[in-house]
Amino acid sequence: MIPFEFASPKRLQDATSAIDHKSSMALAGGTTLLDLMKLNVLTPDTVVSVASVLGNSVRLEDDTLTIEAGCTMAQLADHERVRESFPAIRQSLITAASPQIRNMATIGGNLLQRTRSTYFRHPDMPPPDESFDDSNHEKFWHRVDLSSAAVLGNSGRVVGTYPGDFANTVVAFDATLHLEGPDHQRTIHAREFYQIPQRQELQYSVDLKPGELITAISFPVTPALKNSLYFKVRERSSYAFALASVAAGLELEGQGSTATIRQAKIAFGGLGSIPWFSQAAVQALEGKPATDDNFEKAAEAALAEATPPPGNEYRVRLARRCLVRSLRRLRDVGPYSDTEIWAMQHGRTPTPA
Amino acid sequence: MATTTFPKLSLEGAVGRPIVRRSGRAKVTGTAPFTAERNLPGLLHAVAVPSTIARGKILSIDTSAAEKMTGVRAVITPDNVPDFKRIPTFNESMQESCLASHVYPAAEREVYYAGQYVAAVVADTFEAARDGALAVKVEYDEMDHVTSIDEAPADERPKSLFGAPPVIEIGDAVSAFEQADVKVDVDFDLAMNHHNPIELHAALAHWDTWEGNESLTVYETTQSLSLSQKTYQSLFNLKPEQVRVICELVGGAFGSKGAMWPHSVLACFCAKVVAAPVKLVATRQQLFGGTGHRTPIKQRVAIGANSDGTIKAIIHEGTATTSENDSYAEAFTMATRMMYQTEALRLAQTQSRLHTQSPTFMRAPAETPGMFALETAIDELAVKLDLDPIELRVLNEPEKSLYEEKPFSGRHLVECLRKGAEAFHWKERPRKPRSTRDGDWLIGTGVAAATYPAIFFPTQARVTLRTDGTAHIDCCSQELGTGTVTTQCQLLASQLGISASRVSMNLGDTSLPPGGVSGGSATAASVGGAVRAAVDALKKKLVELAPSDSSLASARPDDVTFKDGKVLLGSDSWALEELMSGKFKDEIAAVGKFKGAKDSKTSNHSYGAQFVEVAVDEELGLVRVRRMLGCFACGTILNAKTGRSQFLGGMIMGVGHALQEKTVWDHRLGRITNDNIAEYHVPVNADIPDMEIMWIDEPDFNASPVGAKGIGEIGITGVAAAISNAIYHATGRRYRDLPITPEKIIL
Repeated sequence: MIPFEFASPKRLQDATSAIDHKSSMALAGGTTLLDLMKLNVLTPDTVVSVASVLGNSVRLEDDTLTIEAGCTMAQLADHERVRESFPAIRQSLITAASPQIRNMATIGGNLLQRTRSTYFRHPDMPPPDESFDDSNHEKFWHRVDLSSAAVLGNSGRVVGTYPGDFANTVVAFDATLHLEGPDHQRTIHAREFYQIPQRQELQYSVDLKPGELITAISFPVTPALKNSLYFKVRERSSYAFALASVAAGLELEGQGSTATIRQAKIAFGGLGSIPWFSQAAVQALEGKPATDDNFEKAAEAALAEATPPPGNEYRVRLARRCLVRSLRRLRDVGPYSDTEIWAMQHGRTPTPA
Repeated sequence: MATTTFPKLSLEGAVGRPIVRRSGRAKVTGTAPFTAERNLPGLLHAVAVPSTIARGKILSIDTSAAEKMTGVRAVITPDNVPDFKRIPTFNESMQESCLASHVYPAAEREVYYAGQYVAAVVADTFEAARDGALAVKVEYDEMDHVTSIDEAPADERPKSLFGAPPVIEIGDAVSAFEQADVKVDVDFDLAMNHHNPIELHAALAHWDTWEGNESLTVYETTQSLSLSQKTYQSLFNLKPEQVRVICELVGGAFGSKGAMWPHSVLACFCAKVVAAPVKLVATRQQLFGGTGHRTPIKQRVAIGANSDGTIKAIIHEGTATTSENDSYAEAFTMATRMMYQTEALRLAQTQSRLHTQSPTFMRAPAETPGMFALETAIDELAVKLDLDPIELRVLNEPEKSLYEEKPFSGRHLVECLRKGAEAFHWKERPRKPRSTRDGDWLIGTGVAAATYPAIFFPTQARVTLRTDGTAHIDCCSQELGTGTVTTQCQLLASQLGISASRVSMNLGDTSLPPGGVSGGSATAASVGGAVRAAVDALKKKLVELAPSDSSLASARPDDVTFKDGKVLLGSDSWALEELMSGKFKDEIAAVGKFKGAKDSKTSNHSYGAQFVEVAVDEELGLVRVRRMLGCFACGTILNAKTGRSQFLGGMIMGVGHALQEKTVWDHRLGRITNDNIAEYHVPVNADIPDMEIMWIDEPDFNASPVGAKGIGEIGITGVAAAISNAIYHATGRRYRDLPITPEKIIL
């Protein structure tokens, strides 16, 4: 860690005018920034504490759920209305990180979590810059670490996976981000906020201008958000990043596989260089009967554009199955309860209450 | 056997009781003194500069920027490193040195592995030292490196496998295998592992003068204090009284603090250069390269049997790795020497050299990887023979240790298998794989045998009896969190016939009588042996203290016993207090020495049986452990609570070994990439199911002076095989490469 100045402004405007996201960075929960500063990956000259100038309320008004950016992951997950009515939001929070981290991390900061790619976290380890297409290089790919390499949105080369969970729910359910600068406010759809890495970039960028902070996120409350889930597969039961995950919601008209899908909300985590909203899956589902066959087709369509790094083909298979299983569950039973999520961690099928 | 190697010792009273570990309260209240938290007046801080290349020459080290930084006191490089002697490592001289590697910190002109400390910065604060370390610029001339076991030639035999030759042959196993009715011939591939104790490796070194001589005090995270003292003596040409090493508590080690890693030597170098006490903590990142690891291993196990299940031949061979300059050899074929009856046996190991830090002991070195291969192959043989895997093991139970040609000191493997099977409801298990489903989960159960040798290290302990009825033990042993203080106090309490609360113990300081390494599950029996010898010596002293007209004065010390603070001889008794005050003494003390048991007439090992139930979701690649049970025979269990905890800990670590733990490399760069505990996975609470621990509590006085054989490691040794066998039972597919991660399981 390199020495830095610490600023603790009293008003939001003072904070925003002091932040350029490069030499002067915002500190909220600190669970990403401090970690990366200790690794000398991020080396700001000034760290501006914004925790006290951001609101942290959660409000449900006129079919919009608005979360102020200073709200912690734990606070949002345990919010009464979220617990009762919005399973995908709650589950993408409680299956992320650890209780300690969730108590510190803010929702605004969580959206900007950096990739876990070893080549990002070790500035002295150059990433491989070869293209996956180069078939002569099969042996080469066994010798590099591809465990956090994206399989979607990678332009056929090693780029870091977006590691978070909640943001997948955010893009799936088409939430809007509220941004505030020293002298302006604007909103942006979360789906447009994230941009896949461009040439030479190891990870995503965001449409956040110097001086702007995320001040709130708002979710349109739809029937699909209520009939939703977050399904995460990882190498251990807790405190691990997703190998693949799905944020999904379905609004159905009718029962079982004869039902018609009125609305579908689908995004993948653990796969893309950005939280991966799947327009292809949505198109393959909406207006169609909720049959297993259509679910399979949607999964095929969703992953059609995947370009997995060599040896990571299984993550595409895994993602398809996560989606199909999620959709069947939403159609046949509905959202998971907390008890069921814990039971799944222990390799058990919970007995229905 | 009618007579035992060590005379039997009656251990009534405190021994065995589930007494709460004495350091427990200090630990949960955050007041327990761990090494890195210590402070000394005038303490400075050092941060190491690790190499970023895997092999090459150092062209230059530019310290100019670092030296100018505020708070920086010195930069240590090969140009100003203080004098020291290059000494043998523990691989060459286990009695004299615990130095891990011949590669010295801040002293080499070449780099032999990534993470090698090429320099260090000492500063007033940790932060200044860290910033300074970043500003040290090293220029390298890179050379070719090999860090993958798949890319290195396995063309060398290790010199010695803990004293045994690298090739052992009994009969002609190759022909016997060829001619066998039923054959299993399978290969196993195990990933590199790092111990990752929660407590980071740290050392505080302080050079001072004491009675006109130079003296060195080191506070350090170590499993081997007395050997560390000797090592510093040799490194810096000092006498024993000039070196003191202190470690009150170890916060997890698992073998990683058995040898002396470069950060400790570097702390001494730094302290010498700046003439002030210096603290150096290896960071979590630096642990990967700064300390050792369990080597990756490739193994083959071939077993041939008659169609009735009688084993005719066992072949166990393979390759482990070691480093360019050192000779640590993982004896992974060791347990196969005595596990099962066979007509012919062939054990053969080769090694390859990688540009890594030296590999080292990791919880149950040798047994953990070796038993995974052997016990998986045994399960495969049972499947081929259509026999229950427990019955196959019972059928091939040996009468004596094949290689050693000695009777077992106490085996009880069959008993463990039977008792465990009953508690686990093994007989309800369908023989056929893929027979049980629970929703999306396939359910399977597996069993494996566990074993670990009874190892001892020479140890001395001083026992003091006081007129107030209390007793005290002094021994330079280590408290690894296993409960050494608690259990040794129980052991002495039982011998004196008093309650454990009246016994205290000091350890963790080389100013105490020398102890052995707290590794190899050796501490309980080694310290216990010394405590027992001290009690014997005290009996002699008490006889000398006895009034000349008493029967005690002419007693044979062996006939003397203790009860409730009294000395007993036949039907006579004397209060300890009176014996001592009669000669104007407040206390009497005696030092007991335990030499270890080198020339044992018996083959000394612990055994156990481990049972696991897993759930496998093969669509998603998930394996979850649903139930675990271990039944062990390790001789006397000194404390039912701390003993159970050690078995639990071993079994939990086994879940990590089987399913999660894997050091990931970029072999192109020759560097470890998952050098943090978010990506280096060990089990979390949610991975661990309800666990049941049982034991056969029968003292083994052939193996151990106190009947206890050590329990720290056996708990892990059968877990990976039991899990892989359970996964086979669930899915019908074999997984022979560890860890068994989702990418291997997913269909």
